Amino acid sequence: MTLLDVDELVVDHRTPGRPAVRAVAGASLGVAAGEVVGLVGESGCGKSTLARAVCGLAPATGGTVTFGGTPVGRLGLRRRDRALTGIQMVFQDPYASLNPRRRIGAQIADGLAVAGDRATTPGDMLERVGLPASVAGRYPHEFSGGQRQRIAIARALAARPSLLIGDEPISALDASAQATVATLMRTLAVESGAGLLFISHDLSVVRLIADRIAVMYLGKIVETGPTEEVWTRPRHPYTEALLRAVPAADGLGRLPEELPGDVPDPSDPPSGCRFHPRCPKAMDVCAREEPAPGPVSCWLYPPA
Amino acid sequence: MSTLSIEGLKVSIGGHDILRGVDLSLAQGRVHGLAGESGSGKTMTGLATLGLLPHGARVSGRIALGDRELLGLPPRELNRVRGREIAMVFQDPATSLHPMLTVGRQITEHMRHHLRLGRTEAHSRAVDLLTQVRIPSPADAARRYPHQFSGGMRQRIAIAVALACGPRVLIADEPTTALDVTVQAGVLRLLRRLCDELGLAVLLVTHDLGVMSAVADEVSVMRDGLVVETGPRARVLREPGHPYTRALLDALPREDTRPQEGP
Repeated sequence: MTLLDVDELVVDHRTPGRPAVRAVAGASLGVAAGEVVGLVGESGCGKSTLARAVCGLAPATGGTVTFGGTPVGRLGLRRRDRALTGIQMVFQDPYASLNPRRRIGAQIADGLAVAGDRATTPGDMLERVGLPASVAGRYPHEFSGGQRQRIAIARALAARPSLLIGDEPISALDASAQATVATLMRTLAVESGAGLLFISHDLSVVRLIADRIAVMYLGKIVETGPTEEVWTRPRHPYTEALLRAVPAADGLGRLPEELPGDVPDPSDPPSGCRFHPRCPKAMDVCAREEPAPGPVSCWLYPPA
Repeated sequence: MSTLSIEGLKVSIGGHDILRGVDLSLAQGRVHGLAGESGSGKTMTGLATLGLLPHGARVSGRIALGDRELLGLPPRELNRVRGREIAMVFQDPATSLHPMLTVGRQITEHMRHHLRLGRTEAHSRAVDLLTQVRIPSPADAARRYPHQFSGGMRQRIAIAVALACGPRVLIADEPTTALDVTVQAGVLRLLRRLCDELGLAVLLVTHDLGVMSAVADEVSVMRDGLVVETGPRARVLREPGHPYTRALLDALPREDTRPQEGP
């Protein structure tokens, strides 16, 4: 059964005096319990907005987000619906997401209280993320970026989430800490039977930890599939271009391939398929009509 | 012959040894990649070369540009080297470009100062430079401001600014780290082409071994203020001699390092 079901989600960013920017333009995505889904795409494609809509931080203009059968509405000032505390998020910048004036143990204890867990101590949670229990009395500034992100993960897991969302959780970290923190998130989510929606622009890390990959372009999901399949046999021309741009550390001196053109303005998207102005395989139909959503949303692969 | 050679460079700040005897040499038309994790001293090596170390830093060793010693040059003379013979590109083009000056002005300012060019001549060279770094409609772009460009375009502009006075050495500190892979590919191709066409000596500081593998000719790996391994790209990345280089390569996400799941 799917734990999280995002169906035809539309999210607009409105600024007074300007046209609304459609950051997410009808995206559908599912995450099952115990499954790790990697959402990738260039900056500005709407992947973070999608994550924020999933936990109610951005209001949906259209479409639905359902979590374990409960619709997710906008998070207001009041206490969140009990059923929805099963969604926990780890944000991009651990320097901003932890409260600098509270001890880390107290911040983790908040999560434990939500889950009604009196047996576990904040120290136990710290040990699960690879930090000594004795540091619970310290403040966030006493830790490095990688350690802070571990603390943020411990805090999120303390609430016993059934869905963990990581919104670029590793991009603010050192290269040497990125793979370890990503792997840690996967291990802890899978161990506890939770689903993980992992958002990143780093394709090689997503390949490492995700069971399934969803590729997003200008507010739409253009391809989804099992990680290895997408990686070894990308079908959508955008996925192909994205993968070809990743330089390999093989010592061969091969320059990565460039994808010409810029991501178009989401407030004025191209007609037809949104990728057609940059697509090397564009056909006549691509400029006229939008391809149907599916595992591969492209006219080269019409649904059978 | 090496264009820039650094020998036994030591830097200490507030009693902490940041660099503990770094040797590096850059040659014309070659990209020298400098790898290592943060805190290993990569950026400090670049900054020391330009004399941009923080106040109170103690420096010793040799930094020679051709046969000219740069360490200990009086500030006035160092100013003539900086920007004119050695230029730098920083990680984040959003902060390294001046937000309130037009792109054209940022390029011409150097040329008018260092090369004493007139307004018209400087402007036409700025447009040439913008063409060279592949900015679309360069004459129009010169009149616009940095915020009107995307991240990749801004980094191209920052490169044009660095190239304004025809430097011999370009120091690029994590020039593509803030960019998406698709945009990064374009900037890496640009760096490689400029290095080949203009015969620049490039010091590319990056933690990304993939980036290193794509553009560097020589690779040096730093750790704790020392260069632990240096050599041709293919040798260092394919048959690393130092255990630390091997550890860095092993830290890269690869299929066989996928975590094992419990029962």
